[in-house]
Amino acid sequence: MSETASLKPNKFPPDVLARIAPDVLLQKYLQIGLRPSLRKFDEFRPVAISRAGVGRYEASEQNGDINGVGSVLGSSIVKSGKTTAICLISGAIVEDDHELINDYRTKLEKDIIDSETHTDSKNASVYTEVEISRGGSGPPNEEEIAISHRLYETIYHSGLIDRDALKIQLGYKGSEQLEQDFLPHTSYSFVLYATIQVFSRAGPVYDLCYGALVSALRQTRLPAVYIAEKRTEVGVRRVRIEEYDLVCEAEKNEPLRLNENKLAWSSTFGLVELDRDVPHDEDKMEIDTEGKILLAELEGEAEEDINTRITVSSNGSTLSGLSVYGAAGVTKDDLRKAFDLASRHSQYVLNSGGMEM
Amino acid sequence: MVRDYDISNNEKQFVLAALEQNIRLDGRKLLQMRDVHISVSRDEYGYAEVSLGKTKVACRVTAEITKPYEDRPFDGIFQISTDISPICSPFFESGLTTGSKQSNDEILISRLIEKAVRRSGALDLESLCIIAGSKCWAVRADLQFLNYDGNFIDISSIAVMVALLHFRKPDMEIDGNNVILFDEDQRNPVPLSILHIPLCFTFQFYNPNDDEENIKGNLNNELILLDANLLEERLSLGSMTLTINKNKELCQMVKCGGLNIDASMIMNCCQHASNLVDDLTRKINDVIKKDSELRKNPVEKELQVVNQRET
Amino acid sequence: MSIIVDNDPLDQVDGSASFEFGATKVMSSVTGPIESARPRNELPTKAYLDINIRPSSGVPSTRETLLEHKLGQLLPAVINLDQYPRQTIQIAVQVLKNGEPKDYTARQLVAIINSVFVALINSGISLKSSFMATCCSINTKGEIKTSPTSSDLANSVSHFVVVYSIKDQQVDNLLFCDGLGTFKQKQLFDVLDHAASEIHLSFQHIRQVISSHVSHNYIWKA
Repeated sequence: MSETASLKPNKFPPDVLARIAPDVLLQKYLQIGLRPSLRKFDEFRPVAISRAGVGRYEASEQNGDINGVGSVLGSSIVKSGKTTAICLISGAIVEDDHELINDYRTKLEKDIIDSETHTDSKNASVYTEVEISRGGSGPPNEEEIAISHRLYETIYHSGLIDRDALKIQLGYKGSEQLEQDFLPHTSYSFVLYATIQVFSRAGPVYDLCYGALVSALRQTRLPAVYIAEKRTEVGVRRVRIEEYDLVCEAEKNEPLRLNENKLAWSSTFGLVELDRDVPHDEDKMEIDTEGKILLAELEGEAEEDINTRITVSSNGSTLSGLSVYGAAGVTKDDLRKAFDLASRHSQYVLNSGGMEM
Repeated sequence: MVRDYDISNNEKQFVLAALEQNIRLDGRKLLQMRDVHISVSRDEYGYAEVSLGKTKVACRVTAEITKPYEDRPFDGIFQISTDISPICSPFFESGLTTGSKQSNDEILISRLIEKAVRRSGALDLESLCIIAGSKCWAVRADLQFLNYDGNFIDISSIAVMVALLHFRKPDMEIDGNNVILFDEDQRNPVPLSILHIPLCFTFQFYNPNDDEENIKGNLNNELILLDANLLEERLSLGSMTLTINKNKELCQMVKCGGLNIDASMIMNCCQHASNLVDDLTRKINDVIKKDSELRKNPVEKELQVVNQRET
Repeated sequence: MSIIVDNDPLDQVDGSASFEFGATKVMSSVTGPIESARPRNELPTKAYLDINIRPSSGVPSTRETLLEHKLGQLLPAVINLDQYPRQTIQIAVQVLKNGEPKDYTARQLVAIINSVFVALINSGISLKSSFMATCCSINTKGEIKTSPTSSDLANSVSHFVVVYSIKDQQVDNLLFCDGLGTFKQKQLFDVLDHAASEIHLSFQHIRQVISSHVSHNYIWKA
């Protein structure tokens, strides 16, 4: 008697199948009109934005006095679903000179400058470092670096921060402005740094980081700066070096000026083609889409397998920053649909009071 | 490193046997260099592509204003960076691989170039000073290795020197503590002050006899090769790099271990290199001269601020 | 836009190409499929893309990492990665001339993508489709400029890198689009149309370069 070899169908629970065959699981869900995350196709996760309360000029929770110490100038906590991003903005002071001279255009002879060919680069940005906590330490991986630099690039080109907004107006200790004669030859500017930490990530985190960064910038306060002392040192071989001690006030500060109309919120969509070949149960609910489905805010292993993505920052009417990639062939209709959803979502988030804090 | 360039025994013996009969695979004489081809960028300053046979490198020189080092307030800053990327050969691994053979090669090359060009004072650092102690030019030469067929050192020294000679920094004026830079359209940019052109020549050594003859014997029939290609370089038993300029001054001599070579043979190498340096220097100067003539329009020639100088 | 393509200039790698348009020049090389250098890079179902981009001056920074990341987003859509399981395809890119202000990477990305395309063809790696990139900028007056120069970019409000796949010499699908700055939806769609027609024109040239290279390589057959 010979035994007949028979193939038994293997059965996996969804979370296991999501790891070994994410595409199959995703198609299974979509066939019956559901997403693995159980949200609607165009449903975003709820967003909650709050202060972190650790800033130098933020009121502490116990007595309402401002902290007055520390190097954090602005902060925010953004929660979306299970994922949390904490953003801290800190700053440093640099001499303008070295940076600006190398941007040759700024120091050209005034009368020869012809405004057609020489426009000053007016934009500034914030140097960002993103850390996605994954239970261990180490140098930032490619994803973190790419998100960090993309944030820098997007903020820079969107024109959210003017270079002038970071210029330092030196004063005496107290209130008055310095007279022209006492001003040092060099001018100073702030440089902003942002550290964003992401906890228990699920899905792409760029949107969350962008949101956290913008929210933190919105309530960043720059300290007033005065000159404590002027020192002229004779350095090596009798070279005179003028140095100034700059001190940041503990209480006096003013908010960072942002171009409010450039404030935006970013949304990521996945575009997936419905595979008609995947066998599905006839009696189950059938959805009527013409092949391609746009999913808002991907989450979970099955959804993250979608590698056609659209990321767009919008303030409701204008777009600022866009990234589209993938093999599925994104059409203008897909883009239009994504932009509509993104602008509605960003209007909701930007105006719902969540950002006002 | 997983991958390496393997040479079969047959190939090895063939090449060595040919060398003993004064024949190289590419038909050159033992002490003959490959043809040097130099091209410089027409639309910008400080960019040169040099090829030596199949070996090819590009060099870009850039300059910006920074604060000088505290202990050298009167000097500008000059940096040469050499990074070998996998573009020139998949045997060079990307990223940081400290301790591996490739990164040792890389360090060796960059140290040699650094000594040949920077330490020999080819670029006048004092002329880069703008305001003592607070502002100076920082000149940076980035070497980009594109194709590897041996002898990176010699070609790098040519590329760096051509790019330095080709480079112009924007003209400027000092107004109190302020520096005003002029655009290319407003005033002609000025060349760097190059004091001399040191060029490297690398010799490879081979031993047709056994080790004992090399150490004890008086035959001195070790083979000496100039400008080895990749295959020859891999088979070499020792190498020596000479850096020499047009004035027949020896700027650097490096022979780290390897085959023992008679001192008189090294003298011959020096003699040979000093014969070659004239031709090569002339070639470099011709390229630079041709380029600056192409850039000049006749009106500007009359209004030239900087006097022409021979380098 | 005058394009200069140098086909297979390097001989230590499987395929290479340099792409020059205007003041921007990039050299790319492709080696593969080769054995993965690290076990971590051996993916069981597809090839690992080892992308390495080096700037024209200075050391690679986060800027280059982002460019590598963008290239890594585009390439899986055009390379048949599942044909080379457990292996590595090494792509090394050297930017030779920037041709744009220091905070911009649009022109470089275009040159990188196009040179990598020709290098991939030369290396014989299996591709799903041809593709080509171009860039556009929109200035303060709302005018669209294809292949903007350095000063066009400096004076622009927004700029875009657009990649289309090409099928039967016709522009097919949008594979990649990267936009920075502020713009309206309609402007973006205009940009896409401009880019598509630009790519349609320029690809003829690239095609010619590739076909003459191939016929030169097969000269022994004639």
